Amino acid sequence: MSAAALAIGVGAFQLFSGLQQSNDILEQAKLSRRIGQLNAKNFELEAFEAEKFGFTESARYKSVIDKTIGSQKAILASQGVNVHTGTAAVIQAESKLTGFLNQLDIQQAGRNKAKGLRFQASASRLGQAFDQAQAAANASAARVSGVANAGSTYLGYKLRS
Amino acid sequence: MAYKSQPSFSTGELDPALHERTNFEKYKSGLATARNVMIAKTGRILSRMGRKFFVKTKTDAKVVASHFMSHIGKFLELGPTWMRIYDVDGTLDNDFANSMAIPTNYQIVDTDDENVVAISNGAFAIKLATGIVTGANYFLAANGLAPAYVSRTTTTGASYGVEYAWSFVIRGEETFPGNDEAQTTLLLPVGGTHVNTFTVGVDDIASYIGSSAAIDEIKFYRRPATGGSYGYIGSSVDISTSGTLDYETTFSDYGQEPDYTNQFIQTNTGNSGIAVFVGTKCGVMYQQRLVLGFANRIVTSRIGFPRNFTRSFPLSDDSSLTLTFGTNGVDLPRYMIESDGLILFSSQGVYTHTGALSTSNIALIKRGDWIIDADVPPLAVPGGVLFIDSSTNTVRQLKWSQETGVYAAEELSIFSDHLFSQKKVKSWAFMSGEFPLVWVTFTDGTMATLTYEPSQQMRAWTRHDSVKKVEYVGEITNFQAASTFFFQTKDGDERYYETAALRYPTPAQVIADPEADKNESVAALDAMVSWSHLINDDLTDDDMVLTPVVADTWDGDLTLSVTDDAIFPDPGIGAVGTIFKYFDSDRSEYELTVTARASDDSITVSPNILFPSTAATNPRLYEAVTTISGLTHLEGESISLIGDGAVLASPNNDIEAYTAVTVSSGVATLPASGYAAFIHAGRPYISDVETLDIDTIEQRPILIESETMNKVYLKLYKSRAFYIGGRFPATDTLIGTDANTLQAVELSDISRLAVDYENEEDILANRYDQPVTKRIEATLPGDWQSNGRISMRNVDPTHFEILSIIPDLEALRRSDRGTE
Repeated sequence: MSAAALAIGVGAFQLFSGLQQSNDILEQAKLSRRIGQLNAKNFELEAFEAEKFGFTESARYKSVIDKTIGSQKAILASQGVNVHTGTAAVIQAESKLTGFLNQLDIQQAGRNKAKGLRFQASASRLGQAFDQAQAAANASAARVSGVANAGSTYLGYKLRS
Repeated sequence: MAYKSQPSFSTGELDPALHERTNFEKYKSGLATARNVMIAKTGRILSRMGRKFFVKTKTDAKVVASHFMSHIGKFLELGPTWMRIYDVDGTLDNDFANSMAIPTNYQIVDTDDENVVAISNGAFAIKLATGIVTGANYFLAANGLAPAYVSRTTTTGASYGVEYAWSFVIRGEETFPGNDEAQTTLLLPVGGTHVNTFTVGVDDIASYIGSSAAIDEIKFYRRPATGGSYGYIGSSVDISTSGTLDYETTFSDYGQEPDYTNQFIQTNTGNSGIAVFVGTKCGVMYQQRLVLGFANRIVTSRIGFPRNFTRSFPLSDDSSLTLTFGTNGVDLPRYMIESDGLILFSSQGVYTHTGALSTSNIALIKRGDWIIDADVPPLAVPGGVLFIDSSTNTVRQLKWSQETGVYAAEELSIFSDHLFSQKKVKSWAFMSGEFPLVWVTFTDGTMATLTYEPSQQMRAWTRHDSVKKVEYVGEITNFQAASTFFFQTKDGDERYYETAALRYPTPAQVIADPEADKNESVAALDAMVSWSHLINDDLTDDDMVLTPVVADTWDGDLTLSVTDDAIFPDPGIGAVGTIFKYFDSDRSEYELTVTARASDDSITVSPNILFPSTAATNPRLYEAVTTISGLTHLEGESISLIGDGAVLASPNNDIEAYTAVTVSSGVATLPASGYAAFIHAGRPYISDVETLDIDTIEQRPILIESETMNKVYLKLYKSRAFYIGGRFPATDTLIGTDANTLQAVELSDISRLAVDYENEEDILANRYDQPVTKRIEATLPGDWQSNGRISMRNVDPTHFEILSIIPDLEALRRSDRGTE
C-alpha cells in the first residue's frame, strides 16, 4: 500500500471517528432530554397530588370544625343561651373562622409543597435543555475535531511527499 | 263570751270530709266555703279579680286550641275551619281558612317568631304570616331548595363518572340541597392534573324557605356515579350575588379524596317528607330544639333550628337526635315540659332528661310510675311541675327531693278533694305577678284556684263560678304589667274570650294615671266592658285653660279654651249640656256642664261646686256619659254597673234594690238619668266566705254544744262593703231562707253594722265610698244553730279583703245544762 493511500485511509478514519463521536453525543443528549422530561412530568404530577392532598386534608378538617361548633351550641343551649345572637354567635363565628383559617393553612401547605415540586419540574426541564445545548456543542466540536484531524493527516502526507 | 281568732286562711276551702278533723292543724286555717275568693300568698282572703271581655271567637263552634304567643305578643285562635291571630288589644291581625280539618284538641308549641307547631297525633306547622301549612313546607326534613342550575367546564380523557351534590348554609343552618344527579354527573379523569370546575346557584330563596336570607356557604359532596355515599370535598364561601342567579358560586374539584365520614346531611329519622311527623303525640321546645314525641322515642330538631330535623355526618352534638324510652312494650308519650330539664309524661310513667342534650347525653331516665291524665297537660310552677294523676284525679306536684335524692309527686289537692269530685280538670294555667295562683277549669264550667307557697305552708284551694260556664283557661304572659289569663266562655251558643282584670292598679298605672283608682281594678265583674274618655288625649299639645268669666269667681261660669285643636265640635263634646268631670287629688269629683259654645276651641262651662283654681291649667277632664255600648255579649241581661267608682246597679242585691239595668241593642243606660266618666258594666258574681264550726273555746271542746255569736271582729284591708250573717240564703241573694232549716235569713251590710273606732277616713263629699283598712266590730243577730260559723257574702261589683276573723261566742254547754 502506498503512503498516499495510507494517509487517505487514516484521514478518512479520523473524519468518520469525529462524526461518530458527534452522533454519540447527540444521542446521549436526546436520552438525557427524555429522562429530564419524564422527571419534570413526574414532579408536576407530584405537585398536583400534593395540592390535591391539601384539599383532601382540608375537607377532612371540616368535620372537626363542625363538631366543635356543634358541641359549643349544645352547651350554650343547655345553659339557656340563644345560639343565634350575642356573644354565643360570636364564639361560633370565631370557631368557624379559626377552622376556616386552619383549612386554608392546610391547603397552603399542600400548595407550598406543590410549588416546590413544580420548581423541581422546571429545574429539571431547564437542566435538560442546558445539557442538550452542551451536547450539541460537544457534538459539533467532535465533528470539527474529526475533520481537522483528517485534514491534518492528509496535509502531513503531502508535505512529507 | 269567748273569742276565737282566725288570722290565716291558708288552707282554703276544706274538704267536708275533714270537717270533723278538728285536731287537724289545717282545720285552724280552713274555711267551710271559699267561693269566688282567692287566698293571697300570706293567707288573707281576697275577692277574686274580675274578667274583661276580650274578643268573640270567629264562629260559635268550639275552638280547637287557643294560645297566647308571649314571645311576640300575639293571640292564636285555632278553630275547626279557621285560624285567627289577634293583637294584644283584641285587634284582628290575620284570619285564615283552614285547608285541613282539625277535629281534636291540639298542643301548641311556639317555635320561633314566624311559626308555631300544633301537635295531636301528627304535627303540622302554622306560619303566622300565611296560616296552616300543609304538606312539606315547614319541616326541613321534607323541604329543601329547588334544584339549582349547573354550568361546568370539564376535562376529558380516561375517566370515571362522579356525581356531585351540594347544600346551602343559610344563617348557619345547612339546608337541603339542590342536587340533581343527572345534571351533576361529570367526568373526573383518573390521575392527571385535571380539575372539574363548575358553577352552581339558587334563585328566589324566599319561595323555598319562607324568608329571604343570604347564603353563607355552599358545601360540596361527591360520590362515584355508580352509587354509594356522598363524601364532603369542600366548601365555597365566595358567594356571588351578581351572577345569573341570586346566589351562585364556582367550585373546583381537584379530585381529592372525599371525606366519607362527613356525608351529605340526612333526615334523622332516615325518612323524608311530612310523613316523618305522622304519629307525633306531643311536643315542646327544649334547649332551643323542637322536641317531638313518638311511641318509645322522641326526636329533636337541630339546636336553634326547630324546622330542621337533619343530622350531620359524623353525628354532631347539634344534630337532630333520637332518644328512646320505655322498654316495656309500647310506651306513648303524652306530654313533655321543660322544668329544670326535660320531663316526659308517658303512658307508663315519668321520665326526665337533664344536662346538655348532646350525643354524649341522650338518656331519658324513668323517675316514677305516675300516669298523667291524657287530657290535661302538665303545668310548670315555681319549684316544680303540677300534673293530674289519672288514677286518682288528684293534683300532684313533681319535684326533686334534695333529702332523698329522688323525684316525689306530692298530692296537693288532698285537703280540698271535694272540689275534684264528680268532675275533671279541663285546663289550667299559672298566673304570676302580685297574686300568684294556679287557675283551674273543670268539665262542669266551674273553676278553682290554688295558692301554693311552700315557704308559707300555703296550699289553699278556693272555688269559683260565674253566670256563664268557662271552658278553658290559659296563660298570658307579658300581656299587661302582671300576668293574666284568658277564658273561653260559653255563653249559650256564643263563645268569647275574657282576660283577668287587675286586682289593683299597677305602680306604672298609678304613676301615669291619677285616676287609676277608678279603672277596671275597682270592679268585680265578669265579661266586663269599660269606658272612659279623657279629653286631654284629644289635644295635640297641653294648652287647655279654664278661665272664670267673672274674675276670680270659680263657682260661676268658666271659659274652657284650647288653641287650634278644635276639640269641642257640636255635635260632639262641645254641645250644650255635655258634662265633664274633674277628679281632685283627694278623689273628690267636680262636674262642668257646657252652657255655651263659642267655637270648636272655646266653650263656657258651669261647675256644680267651687272649682279649684289650682287646676285651671290643663285640668284632666273626662267626658261624662249616660250610656255605655259594646255590650252585645250581654244582650238582654240584667247587669251590674259601676260609675266613677260607685255602684249604680247590682241585680243580686235585694237589700239596696238598685234600679235594674238591662242591655238592649248592646247598650246599657245608667239608671236615674245618671252619668259617669268611668263606667264598668258586666255580669255580677257572688263571693262567699264561710268559716268552719268552732271546735274549742278556752281549750274546751264545743263542737256538739250550742253556740251563738253576738259579735264578730273583722280586720279588713282596702275593702268596700259586703254582707255578713250566721247563714247564707239558699239562693244567690241577701234575703231568703236557709236551705236546711228554711228559716228566714237576711245578711247585714257590714259597713252599716260597723262601729268604726280606728283609722277613720275623712268624710268627703262627691266621691265614692273609699276602700278602708281597719278593724270592724259587727253585731249580729243571735243564732244558736250557727255552730259559730260566720257567713260573708258580696253580691255587689266591689272588692274586699279579709285579714282576720274574730268571732265573739257564747256557748251553752250540755254539761252545764245537765247541772242546771
